[in-house]
Amino acid sequence: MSRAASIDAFVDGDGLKTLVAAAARAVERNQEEINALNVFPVPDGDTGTNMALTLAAVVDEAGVSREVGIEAVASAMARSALLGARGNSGLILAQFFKGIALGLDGAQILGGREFAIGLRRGAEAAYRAVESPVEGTMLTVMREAAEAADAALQESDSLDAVLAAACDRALESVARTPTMLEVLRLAGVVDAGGYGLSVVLAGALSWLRGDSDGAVTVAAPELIGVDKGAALRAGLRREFVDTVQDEIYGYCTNFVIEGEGLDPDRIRADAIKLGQSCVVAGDDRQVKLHLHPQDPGSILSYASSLGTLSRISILNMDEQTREWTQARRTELEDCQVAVVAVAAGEGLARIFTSVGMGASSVVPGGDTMNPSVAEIAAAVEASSADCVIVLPNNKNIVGTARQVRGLTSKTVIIVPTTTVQAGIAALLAFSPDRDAEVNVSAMSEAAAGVTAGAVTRATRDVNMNGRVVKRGDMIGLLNGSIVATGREAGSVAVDLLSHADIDGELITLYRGEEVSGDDAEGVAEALRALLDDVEIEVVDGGQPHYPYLIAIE
Amino acid sequence: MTVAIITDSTADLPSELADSLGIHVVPLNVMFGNEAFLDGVTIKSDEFYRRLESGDVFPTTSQPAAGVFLEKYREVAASSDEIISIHISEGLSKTINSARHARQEFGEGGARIEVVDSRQVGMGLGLVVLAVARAARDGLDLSALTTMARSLVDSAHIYFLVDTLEYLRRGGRIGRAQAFLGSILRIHPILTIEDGVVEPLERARSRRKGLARLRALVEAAGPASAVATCSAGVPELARELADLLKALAPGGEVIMADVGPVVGAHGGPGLIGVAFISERPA
Repeated sequence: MSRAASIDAFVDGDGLKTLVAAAARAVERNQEEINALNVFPVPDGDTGTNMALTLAAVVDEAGVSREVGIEAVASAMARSALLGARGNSGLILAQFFKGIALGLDGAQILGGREFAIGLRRGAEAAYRAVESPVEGTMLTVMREAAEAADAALQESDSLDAVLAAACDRALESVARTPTMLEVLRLAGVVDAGGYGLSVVLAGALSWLRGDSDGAVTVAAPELIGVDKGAALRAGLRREFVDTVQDEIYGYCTNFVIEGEGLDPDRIRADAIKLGQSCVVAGDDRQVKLHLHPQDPGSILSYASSLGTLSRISILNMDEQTREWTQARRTELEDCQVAVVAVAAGEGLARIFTSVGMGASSVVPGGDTMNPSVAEIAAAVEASSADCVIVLPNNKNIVGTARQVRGLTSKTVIIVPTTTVQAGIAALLAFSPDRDAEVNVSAMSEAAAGVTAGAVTRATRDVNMNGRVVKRGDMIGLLNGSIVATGREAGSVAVDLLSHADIDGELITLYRGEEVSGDDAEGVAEALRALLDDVEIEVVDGGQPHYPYLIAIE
Repeated sequence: MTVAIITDSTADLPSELADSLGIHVVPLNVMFGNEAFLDGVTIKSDEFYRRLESGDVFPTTSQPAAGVFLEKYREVAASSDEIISIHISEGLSKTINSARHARQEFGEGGARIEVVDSRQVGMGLGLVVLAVARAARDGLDLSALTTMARSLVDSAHIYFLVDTLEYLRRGGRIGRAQAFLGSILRIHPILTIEDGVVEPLERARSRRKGLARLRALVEAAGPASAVATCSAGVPELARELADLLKALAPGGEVIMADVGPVVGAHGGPGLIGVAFISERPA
C-alpha cells in the first residue's frame, strides 16, 4: 500500500501523460489480437488499429502540449481524443478521456477517487454518444469497470488499487460479452472493443506498478457461454464468416464539424436516419461524428450545412469486410481445398489432373503462353472448393496468379512454384482432406525438395565458357544455368545429369511432345548405367519447347 | 490369478514375444482357391509370400468361426477366471463378431470375459496386446485391464507404406485410399488406420523418402512408449526403418514384426510400416 501511495503522488500532469503513453503502448502491442476479434458492428478487423490510432493522437497532442496542471492536461487529451478518434471504438475511447477530464475537475493529482469518478462519467458519456447502446460491447465493459472502481474505493483510494479492480472487472466483463451479444456467440469471440479497453487499463496498471513501460501482452480472456470446442483455433466460426460475406455495410464515415451553437443530440437524431452505427460526441463548438451510411454524400452535405467539416475519412467497409473475410477464411481449418495448376502439354495436364485426386484442374499455359489472370480466376471459380491453392509452375506466372485474389470471393493461396517439376512434387504432397494451411506447408516443402533440369533449344547463338552454342543447338539447364550443350536432346540430358552433382534418389524424365517413348527409355537406360542407386522414371509430359523436363528428388 | 490375454493372428505378434507373455492367439483363415490354411499356424509368412508371388491364385481371408473362439475361451477358462480378448478393428474384419458371439454362448459361468475392439490391425493391435499382457502379469485385474486397453486404443497408431494399392483394392479394404489410385506417376502411398479403417495419408515419390516420412510421423506424435516395425517380406527395409526409429523408441528398442499371411493378403508384399503407442493423450 505504501508503495502504491508513493507512486500515486507522481500522477500529476506529467504522470498522466506517461500513464496514457503506457496505455497506448499496450494497445499497440495487442493491436493484431484486438483486430482479429473484431466482428461487431462491422467485421472489418480494424478495432485494434482504430484504438491505437486514437491513442496515438492523444499521446502526440500530450507531447507537444505545454500544459502541466493535470486538469488542463486531461482536457487537452479529451479534446485530441475526440478529434483524432477513429471508428466506433475510437470515439467511445474518446468518451473515456472526456470522463477522466471531468473526474479531475478541480483536482491536483489523479488518485483512485478521481479515476473512479472519471471512469463512471466516461461510461455515461459513451452510452449517450451512441445512437442505440448495445450491451456486450465496450460500453458494458466500461460501465462494469466503473462499478468495480467505485466498489474498490470503499477499501482504498489509491489509484493502484482502484485501477487494478477496474482492470480485473473489465477482463471478466469481456469474457462474458458473448453471453450478451448474439453475434459474438455466433462468431465464437469476445468483444474486440471491450478487450481493447481492458488492454488500455492493463497497460496503465503495469506502468503504475513499475512492472513495465506499458507494452505488455494481454491475453484475450476465454469466452464464457460459448462451447469452446466449437470455436475454432482462429477464433471464428466458419458459419459466421459465411454470413458476413453477403452483408452490405456501406462506408465508415468520420469527420469533425466546427461551428457555433452546435447541438450534438440534435445532430445524432438527424444522422441516425442516414446510416448505421451512429456515434456523435462533442460540444456546441466542435462535434465528432461517426456513421456507416450507404451513401456518404448525404451525411456530408447535411453536416456541411451546420459548420465547417474537417478530418474527413471515408472507408469502404464492404471492401474491408471482404478482405477480412478472406483473411479469416484462410485460417479456418475445415476449409475444403482444391488446386489449380498451370501447365502446357496434354501429358502434363493429365499428370496434374490425376495426381490431384479429383481436386485439381489445369489452366493451359507455360513459357511462351502465359495465361491471363482471368483464365486462372475462371478455373478458381469453377473449382468445387472455397479455398483454392494455385500452382503457377513458372516464374513469369507467379505474379499473375497473385492477382487472382482480387477477382474472386474464394480464398486463393499461391504456392509459388517456378517449374512444372516442382509443381508436380507439390501436388503429390497435397491431400484434399487436410486443411489449407497444412497443405500449403507440405506442398511448399515438397516443391523446395526438387532440383529442376531441362533440355531445350538455344534460341540464339551464345558463347559459353569458350564453347560456342549455335542457335538451334540443344542446351541442358540445371536450376536455370546452362551446364551441357549438344546436337541431340537425349545425349544432352545424359550429359546434364552426369555432370550434375546428383544428390537425389529419384530422377523423373518428362518427355516432351517431340521425343518418342523409345528415345526417352534409351536415355533412362543410359542413366541407370551411369548412376547407381538412383531410380529413373520416364513419364509422357507432352510439353512443347522442352524435349526433356527433369526432376531430381 | 492372472488375467488371461487372447488376441487374433492379425496382431502379427512375434511368436517368442507372445509365448513369453502367455498370450493366446486365435488364427484367422487364409485360402488359396480351395486350399485353406490357418494364419501363422499352417502357413507362415515366408511360404505365404512365396506362393503369393509365384501363383496366379489370389488369396482370400476370413474370420475365425465363433466356435473357434468358444473353444479357446473354454480352454483358457480352465485355468483363468478372467479373460480379456482384444481384436482387429471391426471396420476391417468380422473377427470381433465371432468373439462376441462366443462370449454370449460361453455365458456367465466359468470366467468373466471382456471383448475389446482395438480399432487397429497388425502391430497397432499387437502393441496394445503386449502392453495389456505386461500389465496383467503385474497383477492388474480385468476391469483395470479393460479400461487400460480402451485407452490404449486411442494411443496406438500405425503408418505404413505399400508397394501397390492393388491388394487393398482387391480385398475390398481400400476405403478412401482409392483416391490414391490412378496416378500416372509411380507413387508409394503412405496409409494409416484411423477410426478403425484404412485412411490415405500421403504419397511418397520413393521408398526411401517414404521411410523418412514414417519416421517423421512417429516423431511428430511425440514420445512413444513402444515402437515396432512391420514388414511383408522386405527384411532389409525393416532393418533400415528400425535403425531410423531407434532414437525414438524407449531404450532404443524397436520390435521387428513380420506381417503375417492374413494382413499380408490385404497389404501386399513389400509393405513396410511402423506401429507405436503414443504417450501423448489422444
